[in-house]
Amino acid sequence: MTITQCYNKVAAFARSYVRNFVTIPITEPKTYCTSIIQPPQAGGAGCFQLFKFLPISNPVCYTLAMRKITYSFLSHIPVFILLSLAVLMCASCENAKGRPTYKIGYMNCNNTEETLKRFLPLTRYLSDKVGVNFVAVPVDTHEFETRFKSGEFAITHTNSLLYVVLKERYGVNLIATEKRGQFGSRTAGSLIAKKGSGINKISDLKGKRLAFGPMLAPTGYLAEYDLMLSGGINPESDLAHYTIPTGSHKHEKVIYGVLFGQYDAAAAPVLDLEVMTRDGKISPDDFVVIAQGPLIPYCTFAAPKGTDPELTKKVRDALMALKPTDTAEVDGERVKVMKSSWIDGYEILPDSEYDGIRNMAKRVNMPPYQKF
Amino acid sequence: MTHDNLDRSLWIVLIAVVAATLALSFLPASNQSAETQMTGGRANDQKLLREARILIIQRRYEPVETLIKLGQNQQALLKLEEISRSYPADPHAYILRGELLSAMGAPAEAASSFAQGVKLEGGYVDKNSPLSKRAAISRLVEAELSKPNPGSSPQSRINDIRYLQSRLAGGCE
Repeated sequence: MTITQCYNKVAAFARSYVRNFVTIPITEPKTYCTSIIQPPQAGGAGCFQLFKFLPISNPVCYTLAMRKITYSFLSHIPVFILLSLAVLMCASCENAKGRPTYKIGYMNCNNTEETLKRFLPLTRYLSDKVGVNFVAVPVDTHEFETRFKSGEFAITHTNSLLYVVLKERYGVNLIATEKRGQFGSRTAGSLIAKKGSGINKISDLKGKRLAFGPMLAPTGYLAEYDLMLSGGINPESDLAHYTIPTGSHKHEKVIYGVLFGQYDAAAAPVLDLEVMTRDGKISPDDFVVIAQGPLIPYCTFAAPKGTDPELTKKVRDALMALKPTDTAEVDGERVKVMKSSWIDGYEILPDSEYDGIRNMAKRVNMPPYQKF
Repeated sequence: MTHDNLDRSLWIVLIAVVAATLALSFLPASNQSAETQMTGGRANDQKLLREARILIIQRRYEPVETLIKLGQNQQALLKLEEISRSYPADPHAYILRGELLSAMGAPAEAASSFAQGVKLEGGYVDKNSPLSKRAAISRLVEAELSKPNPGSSPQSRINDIRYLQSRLAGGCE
């Protein structure tokens, strides 16, 4: 309902009420009162003046009239309160609707449903803090660049490799890096094998079956591919074969795949190993970490070049001010933002921290440096 | 000398007073010895508890220590995570995690973990404690303080380093 529709509804009700109100008999014929309701244009944005008394010359009549008016007024106080509340609610709704709306593109980690559930509280928090309406848009990793190019997003939330791609190709500005897990704003990729399989080092992978995570995953594909190359194993020619599982939750799938013997080894992000161990899903006694890549930045908020720098600053400030006790309302429920979004905080890293990813991408021949 | 009941009563009262006086003169001495015994017992208890704690720690974290010795730091970190599921508030886990993170190139996270451990048990910065990790904590603090422009680090990172610095200098919680 727009403010005008709301006003018209409230005003219609108020007019009927006021009409009853002014039918109070007044003894002095020269004295009269009337009432008007001013539309928003005359009375200001969304406000209305219920009564306006025109000249009342006789003090006695005035007093009498006022007494009757006051009596009538008091008997209708609940109506006034309800009217005021209705107008205030409409005005506040209108204010929320009146705020500019921006989209935050969230790269899907596992699937759309999980991404939305995770980041809706954070998006609400940012809307409240920044004073605009942010809309969370979950985006498939491989579609991200195309949709980004169309100018759909004012803010992006992606893995660190996709950030590098957007930085190199479109000049996005780094806002903040997410902290999660034991390494804070950084994380790493690792190669794992089942304990007792005889695979204890990278060279043991020759002729073995290996599973990677999603192809654009910095710690589920890129880092491990680079580890193998540096360890003298070319995944394209030295493995029996390698595969990427289909569907969602690829990181978990490759880890379980090793434990249940589907693959001999897997590219496992250390964050997933940590979380799955903490949740009791896996035990480190069941697998060996053959090798681990360098620490590289985790998921990253960035802003396209065209985004208002003031908006970017406000988002950065809001992210840096985020505390474990901060809450946001989602579907009528107030939830803790950091807990529901699986976030330990944010850190402002310099862009040079992403150079490790750039170097790996160059060695592995991956975007944005891919050459055919 | 005792001729009647009154005389006998008087003698009984006199004997009771003398006995009570003698008993009172001995009582503080016996209390003192009991107290000494109790203090000694308490000290023994504390010593036993300390020894038991060291044994428990050794046994509980033996797999982690073994992996560290083998240079498998990530595996050790995961094993520590698994053990912490059963003992989430054990200060030793924080200290071990601090050592591992420091060795794995995450000094800020190491400082945070050390600070949490020291807050729970100050003995880790006491050079005379059998659990002392003072040397490892000192190395990290010195390395972090020697970094150029530490003021640009996040406040939480600075707070952890300052806290550890203060505890190493003998400051209390």
